[in-house]
Amino acid sequence: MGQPLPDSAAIAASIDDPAEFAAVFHRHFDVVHGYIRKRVGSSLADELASQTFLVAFDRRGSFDQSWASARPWVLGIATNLIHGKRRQERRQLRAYGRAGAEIGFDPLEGTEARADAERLRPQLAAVLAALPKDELDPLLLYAWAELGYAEIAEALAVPVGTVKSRLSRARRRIREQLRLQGPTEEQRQIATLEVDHG
Amino acid sequence: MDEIALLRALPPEAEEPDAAARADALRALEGRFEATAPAPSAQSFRHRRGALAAFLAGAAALAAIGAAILPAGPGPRAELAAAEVLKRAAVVAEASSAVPMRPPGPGQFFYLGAKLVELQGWLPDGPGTGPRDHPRYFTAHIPGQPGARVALVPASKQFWISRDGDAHTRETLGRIEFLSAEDQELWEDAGSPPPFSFDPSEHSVERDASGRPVKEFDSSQAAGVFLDKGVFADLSDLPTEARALRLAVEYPEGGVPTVPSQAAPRPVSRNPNALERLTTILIAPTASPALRAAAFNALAEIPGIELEPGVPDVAGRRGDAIAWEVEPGSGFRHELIFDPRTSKVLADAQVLAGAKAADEEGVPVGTVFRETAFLRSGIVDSLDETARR
Repeated sequence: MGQPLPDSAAIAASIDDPAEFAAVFHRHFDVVHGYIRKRVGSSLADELASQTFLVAFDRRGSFDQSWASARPWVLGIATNLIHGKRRQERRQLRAYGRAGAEIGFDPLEGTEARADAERLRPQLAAVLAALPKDELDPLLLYAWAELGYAEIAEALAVPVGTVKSRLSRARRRIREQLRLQGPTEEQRQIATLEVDHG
Repeated sequence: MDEIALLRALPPEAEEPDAAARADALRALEGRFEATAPAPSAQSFRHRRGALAAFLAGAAALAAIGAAILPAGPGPRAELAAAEVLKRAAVVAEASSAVPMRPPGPGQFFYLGAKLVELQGWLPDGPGTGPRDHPRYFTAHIPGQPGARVALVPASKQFWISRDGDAHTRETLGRIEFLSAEDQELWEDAGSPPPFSFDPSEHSVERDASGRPVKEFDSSQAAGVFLDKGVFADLSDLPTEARALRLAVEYPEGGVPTVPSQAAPRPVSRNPNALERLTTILIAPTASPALRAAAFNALAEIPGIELEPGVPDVAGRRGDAIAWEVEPGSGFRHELIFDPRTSKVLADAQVLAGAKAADEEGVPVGTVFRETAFLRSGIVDSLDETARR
């Protein structure tokens, strides 16, 4: 059996042979499903993840072939579908605000940090629920889908500079609302490097 | 802990999606593959008149400059052109390295994905038949009924057939095509009634992930497409020499004239049963390359078969079609569309090609009456699998 085609080649081939698109599904379905599940919950994740790939398939002619990976593109489609489920997303965030802190913390984090996180959970969920979508989307693609700046720009079809400014604004809002300390000079420098090379 | 670390700790750790959910999503996507036309075509599959007109115009121009090879329209020269194309297809078929399919083993299935379209009649002003509480607007055929309209009803069909012939079938309704904007408005005014076979009041119909009506059912005997002609037929006894094959299909009960096959005369008329058997051989997955080559060559000898180049099928693919009148004077034309590069049969169709049939149906000459496009087939190990080719 040959090597599976990279995304860009599989999508190009799928114009004539739709079955080639299955490679994109197999490569990214779990990540897309996980991202949607975090945003709107398990009950909607199956349906929206399925729809994401149907929409992606229908729009495969518009995929930018210069991108080797289709992951930002399909996550962008998923993000647009999530916009139609804003009410469910807010409900999910409220649920996170109520949930216990046992799940999801890095065991290497100190006890104090865990206690902080537990204490801040309801406020954080409330801040997220109030964020405008043009700030929430890049923030969650960065934090939950682990995309870089350029990939977020591809996903949301906006310039990289716009991604950086929206992300920065969203992070500042969270820090202010949660009364977190801003980044140290060292952290700021690292962040600048990340931005420059992201 | 900064705000990004807090954010990442907010939702539970990612879980793997449920295997059934993944399988459902993949099947929905594969259903879309089946239903997809590769590229928008300037000429619709549903109406062949454009192809016939272009064919006639191009052939007339070539005839005017003395072109001798290409046909000059329906008639003897179109038959010569068809014979040439069929002989070339025979060469391509014979050179194929394709291995004839063997029947599925225990626990396996023969998978076939196809796209079908059928001209169906319906009554905008009221139900045609059916119980009072579930009126049927659509019926299979309403010839000549006052006020009746027609529409082309497409469906993707997927079959999983076990070695004993039991079939699991999944049918997904496509977008109904109307022959005019007025017809579509009438249909919408009537409440957009579904075709009979997808009417939820009469059948068990679900919706797929993209909202299209879909139904799945098991049947003890595979029906439809070419399946009822014996999908696992053993064709190994048929001769692989063209004239011998033609005689074998013309005289299926035996009694073949005892003349050397090379000396067998060209047929002077078309034998409908022989034509049907030869086209079945070309479609059958159990046919060897040599047998398919013989079938193409045998068709090349039969009179009354004409060429229609560059015909689109219902799945949007383009190929060469050989065509013949189903019965003299019937107005129905049978088309077999194949890819000349591979010799693979793309679709099998019947078209309203004569005034008699068109008048009876109340639709223009050239409208497709029924068509099956063969998309993918092969042996698979479960009902969750579909063939890649």
